Amino acid sequence: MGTDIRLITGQVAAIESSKEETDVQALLLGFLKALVEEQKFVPDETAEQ
Amino acid sequence: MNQPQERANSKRKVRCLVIQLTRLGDTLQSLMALRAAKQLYPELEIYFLARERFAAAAKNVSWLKEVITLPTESILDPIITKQRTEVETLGELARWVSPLVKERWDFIVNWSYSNSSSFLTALLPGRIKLGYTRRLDGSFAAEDGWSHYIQAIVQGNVEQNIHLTDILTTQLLTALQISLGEPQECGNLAVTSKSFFSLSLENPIWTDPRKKWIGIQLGASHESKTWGVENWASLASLMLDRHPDYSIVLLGGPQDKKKTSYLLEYINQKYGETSPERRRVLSLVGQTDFELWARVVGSCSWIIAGDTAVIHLASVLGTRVLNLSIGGVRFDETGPYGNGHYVIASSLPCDACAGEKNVKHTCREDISAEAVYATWTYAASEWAHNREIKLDEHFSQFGWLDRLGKVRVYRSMIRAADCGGGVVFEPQIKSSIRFCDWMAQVMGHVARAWYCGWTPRIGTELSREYISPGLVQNLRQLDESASALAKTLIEARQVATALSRKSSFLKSDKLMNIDDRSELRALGQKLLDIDSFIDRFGKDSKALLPFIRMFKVLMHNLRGQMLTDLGKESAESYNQLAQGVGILRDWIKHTLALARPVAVKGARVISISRGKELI
Repeated sequence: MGTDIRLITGQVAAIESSKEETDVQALLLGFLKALVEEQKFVPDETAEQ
Repeated sequence: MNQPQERANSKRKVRCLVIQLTRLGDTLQSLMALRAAKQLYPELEIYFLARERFAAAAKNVSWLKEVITLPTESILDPIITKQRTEVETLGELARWVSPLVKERWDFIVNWSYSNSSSFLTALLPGRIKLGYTRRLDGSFAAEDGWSHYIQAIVQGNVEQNIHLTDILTTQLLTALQISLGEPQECGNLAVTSKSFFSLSLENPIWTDPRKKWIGIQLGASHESKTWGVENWASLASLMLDRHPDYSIVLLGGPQDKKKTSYLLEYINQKYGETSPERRRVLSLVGQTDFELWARVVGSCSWIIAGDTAVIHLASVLGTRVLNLSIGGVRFDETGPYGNGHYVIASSLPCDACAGEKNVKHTCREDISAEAVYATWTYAASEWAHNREIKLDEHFSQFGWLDRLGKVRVYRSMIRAADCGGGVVFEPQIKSSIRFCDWMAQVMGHVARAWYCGWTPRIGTELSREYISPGLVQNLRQLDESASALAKTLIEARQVATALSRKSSFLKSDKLMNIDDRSELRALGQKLLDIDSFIDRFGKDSKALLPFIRMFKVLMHNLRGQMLTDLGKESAESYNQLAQGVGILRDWIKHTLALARPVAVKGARVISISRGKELI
């Protein structure tokens, strides 16, 4: 897991220097936690199809 | 080689990632907006990111460069079922994100407007970002004006009348115009058409031009948005009795099977299982993948449905829609898009729609099968009456005028470009305009002034006959508080400007002499006092709440690091709000003037007693 995070961090930092200060792991974790939360409110697609 | 292709070949490719992590209806609306952008800027290479289970629509669009899917189930299910922790799952998510991070995106357009997507947008490197994202410190940020509007107004449950498809289209086209220059001329190419999707499925039942189908979508994403199955049964029965040239196809997901059984049993009992009427009803409930669903919807003459994805699918495919707007939804924003669709909604107050908990949506019961049937027959026979017969006269012919009292009916129309473009829903029954609908028109006008740089004349779509004494009374009261808010905003702008000017003369925001520090502190304190005063307007007047929400969003999204920049940006924000409140006041003035009694000039009055005309 750690390797992946470092990989991402390195890529982001290299591409956009302004991102260097960003805590990429925190953003990923924020993304994941918010997805889990939102999953409760996203109904099955077949409900609309 | 045609002109769009030439431009596409001659220009550098522009890589655009669109993040759409919400549901199918939003995906379809996004695709409509993207089709317009692709037609005007063929050099766009659009990468569409969607949840795996909602990606089918995008996968059938040939002009998208690539559809990237987020496998939410495989990533999230182990967390939800507590087999893995979030931290343990992080690696898998990182592996999924990794290829996206490597790309150099010219545009990242986050149209999900969700918390999760804001984190993803922040992770990805992009030259221009639209929508929600995160700042370096991880705090939430809305990147552009339309995103501020969506956050404060659309997601703030404030009534406004600009359709979501129009918001997305305008937002993207404005960014493209600023960044890439004027679009290519391509006349008035249709954004929607039967060939929107590349569908391989062919079946004679859906391509026979002699067959006329009405598609009925029984369910919706929430029970509150669905119409009662007994109503659907009555409606189907009215259609089968009186329109032998039409057949009905029932659509829905597996969860709608119970409703389908009820409806079919009703038809069986009324007409018989082998009757000609029963043979004109086909159920595809629970049997359609996206391709079949799209093929069927595209082949129907009409789709009748609540607020669900099928109305957007029908809009995309150019199939006419009769939308039953039930359960606190706002058809102005998410109704069917295009010309000639109809919307029917309750005209009576509904406590559940107003936000009251643990009460029923009475709006579901206000819309009768007869009202829907009469509206549909009116809409389907437009070619014959050319709308010279009014809807109430049409209801009268059935003897159902009483059913009309409980509903409002609207017809969609795309405005001409010189009237501002976009879809508008025109009322088909004369009745007083409600205050919330009046306010929705105002907010739509304010948004155009803020973000389009062009606005139609005030009150173009407001008619004198719709203004009630109650509205006039409300507006008189509102004018007083709006006037006070406008003055306060102008004062705030002056203080913020003074703060910016004063700090611009300083070499540092931290090191300064005591007099300068005192002056800046005094200005800062004054601004804080004014801000809390502005906040109070929203508590005192619900009608001013949209501006207060916008005030908070604008202040949250200031970008400056230095005091002078923050002061300048604050002054611009106060100015924007003052402009908006000014438009509100112009609307109040216009409406009150419109409601004023007018003397009839030059009327020719005939004296009955003398039989002569008096001038």
